[in-house]
Amino acid sequence: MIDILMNPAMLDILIVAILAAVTCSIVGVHLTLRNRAMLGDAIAHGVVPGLILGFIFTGSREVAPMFIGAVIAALILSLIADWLKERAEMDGGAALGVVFTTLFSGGIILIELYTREIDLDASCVLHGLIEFTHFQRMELFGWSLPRSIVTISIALALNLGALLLFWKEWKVCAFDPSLARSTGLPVRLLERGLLVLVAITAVSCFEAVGSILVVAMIAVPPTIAGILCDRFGSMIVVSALTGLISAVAGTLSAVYVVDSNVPGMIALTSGLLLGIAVLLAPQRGILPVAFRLSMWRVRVAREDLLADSLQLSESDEKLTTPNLISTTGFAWIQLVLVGFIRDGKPRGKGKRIAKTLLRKRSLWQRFASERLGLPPDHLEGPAHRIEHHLDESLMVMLEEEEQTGKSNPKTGS
Amino acid sequence: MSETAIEIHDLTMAYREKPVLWDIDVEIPRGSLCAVVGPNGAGKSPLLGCVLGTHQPANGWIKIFDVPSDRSDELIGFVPQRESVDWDFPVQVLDVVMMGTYRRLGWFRWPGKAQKDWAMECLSAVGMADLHSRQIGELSGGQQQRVFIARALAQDAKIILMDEPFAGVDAATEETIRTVLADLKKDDRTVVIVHHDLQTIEDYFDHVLLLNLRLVAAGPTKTTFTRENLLRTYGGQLTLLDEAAEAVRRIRSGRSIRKSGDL
Repeated sequence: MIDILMNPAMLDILIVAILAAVTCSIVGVHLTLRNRAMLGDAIAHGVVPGLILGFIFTGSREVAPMFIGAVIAALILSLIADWLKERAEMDGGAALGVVFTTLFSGGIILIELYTREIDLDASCVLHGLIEFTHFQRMELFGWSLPRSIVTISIALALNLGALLLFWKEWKVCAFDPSLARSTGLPVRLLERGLLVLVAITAVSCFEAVGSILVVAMIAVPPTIAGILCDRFGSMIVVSALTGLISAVAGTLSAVYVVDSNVPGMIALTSGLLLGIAVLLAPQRGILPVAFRLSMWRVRVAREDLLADSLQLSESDEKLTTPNLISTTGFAWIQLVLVGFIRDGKPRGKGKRIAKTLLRKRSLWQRFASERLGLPPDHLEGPAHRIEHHLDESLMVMLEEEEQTGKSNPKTGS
Repeated sequence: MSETAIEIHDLTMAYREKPVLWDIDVEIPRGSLCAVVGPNGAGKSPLLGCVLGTHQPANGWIKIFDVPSDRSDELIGFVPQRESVDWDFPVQVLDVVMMGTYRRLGWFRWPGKAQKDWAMECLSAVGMADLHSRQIGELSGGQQQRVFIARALAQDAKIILMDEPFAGVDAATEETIRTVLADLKKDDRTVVIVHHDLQTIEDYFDHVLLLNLRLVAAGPTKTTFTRENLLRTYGGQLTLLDEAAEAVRRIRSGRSIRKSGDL
């Protein structure tokens, strides 16, 4: 870690990776919320012919003409895709897929035809030239800086600026376009503006990190943030942070662990993070949900054991030890360890829990038979299940219901 | 203020070349609770869209309180159909209601405490203040409807349009929505609702607008919601218009000229 910070070439790579990942993850949130994450993919590929044409016309690798070419290509891409969708009645995803693959192939052909003798080739489009970041420098205000850092920083600043300026407008457009239109917001213009922003982001990151990383960073961190967050603002922050973590972890592991392609490792890392989020997210993760469910089952088993043992102890019998390798067995062990059950009989707090539960059970049975008018054979089973869900306030309501039911019988049934 | 909330004059609207509304002339009085009724594809939602300004009519005009709708700065509230909302969107209840304040706030300005307090007040008006920090997907059907009504209140909308708020809700929810509607009417707001359940029209609404591509009838429920008008709305005669519309669409799109010639 220390020597990466000491080595200027390595430091530049790390900075570029972080800048690119964060920029893409922020703009990606907008696309993800519109269910258009694939637009990032489409634009990242569709801008290639624009880039190349900009390069061919000016014959230089100046930033400005390539930028302009790419933004125009992105706009053309979205216009054709929209036109195909609305006029030729194609599915939106299919229209986008057709247009961007066509444009991308066109771009590759252009590269092969016109730029053979120059260091711009198809593979650099895919995974960029991040390893050479340090050696492609430009002058800015008398400072010599790596070019990628300058361009991506500009893109990041544009992204943040636009995000803050149009925060609420873009939020409304994404959530409820009809509200946006009815209040007179220029929805189409705002959406096209967003598209230009995506194009600028894609192009600025392109040279350094290639299309793999652009596509991954636009789609994956926002998806992770979507799993973790339930507000727009926090989603942006979490997405940017996830992008940052992927960039740092990906770069370090590419350099020190597997000695491999940096953008590839960053994309892979973000994919792993997504897997972790799907499994472990506190609210919606698969494992926490499963854990909460099994904790609930054990609690139900504990309460049932206590209630059973109380009923048995009233007729002076003991509850026999259940099979220990089961949910009930696990609950039994817990109860014995904390001393709620001793010698198969409930003790202390265990007794109180059992009494409350039995009270709930009988309350519900009476409610079901008297107020809902259910036949006797419908009472036992449901009461056994629902008793665990009745909290204090519901019990009070049931008791009140019973009182009013007694004072004026035969109403409501 | 005028007694007429919405005045629609000779309104025709088409999706592509297919007309979905023909020559609609109708006035909806201020403070009425008006049901828009008609078979599927009768143009009920497009009519709301035209009033709201999200759909462009091909012909005709709409006045909101005597001001042409494109010049009116009166905000119209809209409660969308439940299926058309992305309930997984990362917004909390209060955020949704705050969106109602955005227009008056203008560009580049961030909602502050005043907007937040106002939004909370609107939430309280529909009895939802307790749930202000819930993610909208966690709400029940009736609560979701009420959030959007609160948003319309936050817009300070004198006119509120709703697209089938009663579709697929249980009896208790229906009752809550009705209570909120009664409150809106007491407030002298005009509410226009696309409604499908013909059984409840007479109980719920004081005005009714019967639509089947053309306006069949409109007016107070007592005199307008008659068996005869219903037959005209849902019955056979008007399907001719549908046929005509289909023929026009075929000709314009150039798909099957021969077939349209057969008509």
